[in-house]
Amino acid sequence: MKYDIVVVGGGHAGVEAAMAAGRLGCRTAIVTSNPLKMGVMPCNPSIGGPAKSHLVREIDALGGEMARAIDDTFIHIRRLNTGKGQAVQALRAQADRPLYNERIVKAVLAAENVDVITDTVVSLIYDMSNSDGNTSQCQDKSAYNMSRTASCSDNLTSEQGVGRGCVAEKTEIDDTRHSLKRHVTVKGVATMSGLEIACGAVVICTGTFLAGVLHLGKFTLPGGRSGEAPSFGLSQSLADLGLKMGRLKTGTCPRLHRDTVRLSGLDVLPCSHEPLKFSDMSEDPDPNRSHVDCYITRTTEATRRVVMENLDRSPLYDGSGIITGVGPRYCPSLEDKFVRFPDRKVHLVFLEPEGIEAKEIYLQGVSTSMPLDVQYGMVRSLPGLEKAEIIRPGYAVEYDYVLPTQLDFSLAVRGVKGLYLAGQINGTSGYEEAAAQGLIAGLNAARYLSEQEPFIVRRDQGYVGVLIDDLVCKGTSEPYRMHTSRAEYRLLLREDNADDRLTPQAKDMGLISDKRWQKYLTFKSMAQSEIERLRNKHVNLDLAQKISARSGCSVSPGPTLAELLHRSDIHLSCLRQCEELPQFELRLNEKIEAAVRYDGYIERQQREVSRMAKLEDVKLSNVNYNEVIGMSGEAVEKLSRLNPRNVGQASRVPGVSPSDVNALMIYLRKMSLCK
Amino acid sequence: MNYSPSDTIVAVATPPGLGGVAIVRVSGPDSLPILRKIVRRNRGGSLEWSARHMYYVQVVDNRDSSSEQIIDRALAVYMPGPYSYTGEDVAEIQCHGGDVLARLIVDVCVSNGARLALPGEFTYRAFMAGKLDLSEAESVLSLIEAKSKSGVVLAANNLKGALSASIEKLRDGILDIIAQYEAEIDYGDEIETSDTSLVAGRCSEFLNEVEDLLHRASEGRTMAEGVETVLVGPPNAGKSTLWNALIGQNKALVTPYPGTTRDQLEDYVYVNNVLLHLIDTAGLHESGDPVERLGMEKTLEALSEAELCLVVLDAHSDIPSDFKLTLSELSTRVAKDPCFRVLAIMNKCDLGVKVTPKDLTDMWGIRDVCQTSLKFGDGLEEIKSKLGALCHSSLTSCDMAISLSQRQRESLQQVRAALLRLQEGIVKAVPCDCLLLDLHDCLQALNSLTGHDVSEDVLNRVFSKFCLGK
Repeated sequence: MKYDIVVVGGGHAGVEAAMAAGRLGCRTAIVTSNPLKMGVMPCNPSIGGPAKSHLVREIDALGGEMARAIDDTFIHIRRLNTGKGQAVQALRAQADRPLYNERIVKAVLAAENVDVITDTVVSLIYDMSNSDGNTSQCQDKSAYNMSRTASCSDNLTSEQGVGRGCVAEKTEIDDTRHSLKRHVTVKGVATMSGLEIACGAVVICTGTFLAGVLHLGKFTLPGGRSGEAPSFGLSQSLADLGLKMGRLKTGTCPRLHRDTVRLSGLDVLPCSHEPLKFSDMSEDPDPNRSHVDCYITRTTEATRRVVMENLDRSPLYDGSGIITGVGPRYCPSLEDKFVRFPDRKVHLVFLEPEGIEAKEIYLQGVSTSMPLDVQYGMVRSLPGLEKAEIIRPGYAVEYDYVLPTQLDFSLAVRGVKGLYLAGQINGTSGYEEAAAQGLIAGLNAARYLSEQEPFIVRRDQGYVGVLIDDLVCKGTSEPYRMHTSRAEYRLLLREDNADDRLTPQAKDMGLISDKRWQKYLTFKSMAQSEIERLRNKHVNLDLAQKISARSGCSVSPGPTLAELLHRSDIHLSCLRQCEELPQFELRLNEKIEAAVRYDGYIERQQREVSRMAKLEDVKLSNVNYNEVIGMSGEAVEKLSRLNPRNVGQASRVPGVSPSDVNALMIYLRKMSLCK
Repeated sequence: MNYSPSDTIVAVATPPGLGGVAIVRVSGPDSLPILRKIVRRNRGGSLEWSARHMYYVQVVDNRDSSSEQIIDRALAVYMPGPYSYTGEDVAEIQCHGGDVLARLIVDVCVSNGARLALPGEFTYRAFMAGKLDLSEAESVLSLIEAKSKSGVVLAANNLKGALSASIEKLRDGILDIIAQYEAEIDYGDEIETSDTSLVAGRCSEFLNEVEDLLHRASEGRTMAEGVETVLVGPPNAGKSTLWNALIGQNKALVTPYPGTTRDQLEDYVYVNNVLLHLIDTAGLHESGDPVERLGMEKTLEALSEAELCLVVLDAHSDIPSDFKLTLSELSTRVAKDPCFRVLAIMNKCDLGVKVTPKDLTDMWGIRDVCQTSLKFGDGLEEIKSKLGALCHSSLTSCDMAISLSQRQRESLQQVRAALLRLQEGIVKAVPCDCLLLDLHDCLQALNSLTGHDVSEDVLNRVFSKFCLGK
């Protein structure tokens, strides 16, 4: 069997990778142990949130699938951070979990150039050229045998990849200098059933399956997710290539039976009635579409007591209640919340139905890996859940990841031609993070095969650029989650302008349809002419009165409409209504408002971008960091290992302080003077 | 700047001019060999040169190998790296004071293989060796530049990190707010939104802190650099007499550092514990017409930067009409700037009084007036005590004053500007994604203040400001 590209794994990363490669005309195969579970949401049934929804918008701008899929299947959507500024405003949608899964499966099966192969990849096939030029083909037989003997029960109700909104913990990181075997070229993969699939590039998106171990209290079990066997072979294959691996731990929340939960008396979190959607290509959602409400409950003193009394039974804590290893600073488990924030008496808990028909309710905010009896104690101490039954307990999973500092900015493994990694295998957490990487990895694998330059998103162009740059420059010792605060040019990276930032490149690469391109051009020109109009039209007395009446804020004649829009309580839709002009689509409104309101701030950020670009311009090649006087030992070690391409990248490596950067700059200047 | 690190460099480390002792400093790999060549044991025999031991020695001029000459008896010490100021091998010779002798020793060192240090090169090397952080390096710069005793004390305060502590506290506070906002943005659901009035409160706290630092810095600057004092007056009122009376008796002990062109129209003088940087506009008015205008402009320019103005008037004759212009200029300035001080000296009172102190107060708002006859030395003491009172620091002690370099002051002003923008933003209900921009600006300015984050430009400026020998 022969393909251009093989994608290993059918999670969110794998799906985007395969579909992007397919769109670029590469014959692509997804190898997954269960095709019906492609795009499953194993943890939280939702997509979006701050920074994550930005990623989804970027995936959409690059022609990806996630945005349209969630638009088609959400049962609850709302806007977050409305009062905090348009740059950080975000959509969060809750999917009908089974529907979303079905939607993705259909899309993949229908995708051009994409085949789905039901199997498990157990090893890589690659050429390794020795220094004398001879090449030999390698495939690790022992790994192959090991995974053959591992049983692989296919439980249809089980989940794929655990990693969202969850407890995670670094268990072990070997951050020493890696010794990659050079001159390796990937030639294909071998599967558990004995197939050898030849291909030019492989994209590995295995989620939490590499040497996965499940934790429920002190009870542990090998598994990639609840009810499924882990994969050992591929992990070994990667280690054989000389890749340094680490272990991460991540967890999930218990699910409750809908009928055992008392919702009356709980705060309701209603679905928004605005026509919200992620993709510009989706139709506005049908107002009559069914939706659900979410509910909020709060932890009580009893909850705290249950947690604190049973800390010694949590895999995250040892007998003395001290955290072992470095936990992630974000999204802590409930036990973490109580231990680390003793002053907070109450923690919010969200009840999220998993679908219109689904019996399960996801208990967001109660991520835990406590034993089942403790989980019952915790759950039933929450108002409304006194009689709740747990359908599926929360648990933690521990898995291998590849230290992502071994990747380059195209998500290819340095020193191994044709090998790309995306998703949790790179140490990230979250569906959106995975999907964004998958898309970039898949498209770069395709570009590699057609001998084109890799497509690299800069930090000022997209969250996906920030994500990959962070992974490659800084690495990660905890599951990496996208936050808006990770982006230094946050005001430039808004939801509303994701298409402006990325769609033109997507068009050039051939990732998007003509229809999308036309839509983009229409939006762009409409926005431009409207902004022009707003800046030139002054408010006369009549209009001022109308606006005052409609918006409820006092408006006097004189200023331009654009000046008026700087006030956060006046919206474009209101202005156009008063002017008796037709309304724009919501997204177009946002685009125009942001461009007008963020005017000066955007300029400031752009100046900062060009200032930093100067550091990016200072290239680093063959620097012997040991010679840099005044640089800390840590910085010397890290920079020697990571070998950044320019000073900008070097400055972002953790452990490299600004004074190390100064020392480096002085050193470079000294070297150039000595020449 | 072409700092070649492998050279051995030499310079006089003490300020030129009169002084009991001068220090010649040599740094680099050849320090010890050079020391061995030009220094002899006082009582003959060879020296061991134990590290950091002081030896009483003879310094010889060996340039003419046939006739070595003893040029001084001095103290010498050898400090092998990395335990030295620059982190390199350093030798120091403490010779007798005076420019000539120290320069002679430098010359001898140069002919024995050292080269003259470039301005700031010693400190540059110390910085490169990780001996100093940037703010410490700048404090060393102020130490060299300090012209008064108080100046030396407060430069030392900075070195001990008093400034660093204040800045660190500010950074902490700003980081707190940033963290709060960032958390709210990324975890809006789970974190209660902070009360903007609370943030506004903290913001004004920070502003007060920054204003306080800037105030203390300006006091510090006054202590270190002297009060900018301009001497004005119509011709023949007695400016030169006053100048000579002040300068002649109280010449500042530490002369200005080299490199400053010593204009005959300016000097430093130490009056009643206050250092004045005295600028005489005398002569500017006395030239012919075309120059007159230029002179006037120069006077106004000097005035605009001054903190204190000494107006010398002839009490027994009317004020010349063209000088009234200057006086109106002064009164506007007094009204605008509460820190600007004016002391009027009604001279030649022995000849009779036509203009009274009351006239000056009424017409130009000048309140501090001395009536003198400088020709006879009458009233000089009064002037001095009034000067002392006028310029006395508002701070309780010089421990409070801090010394900032130009760059540090600019950074602090950037912090203030960012805080003001933040305050304005909060009032205008600007969303927090934009407020964060100002908060990050604030942080960045603070970082550059402590040297946590400096660009190449900043480094260039810092090091080009260092004077020879340090």
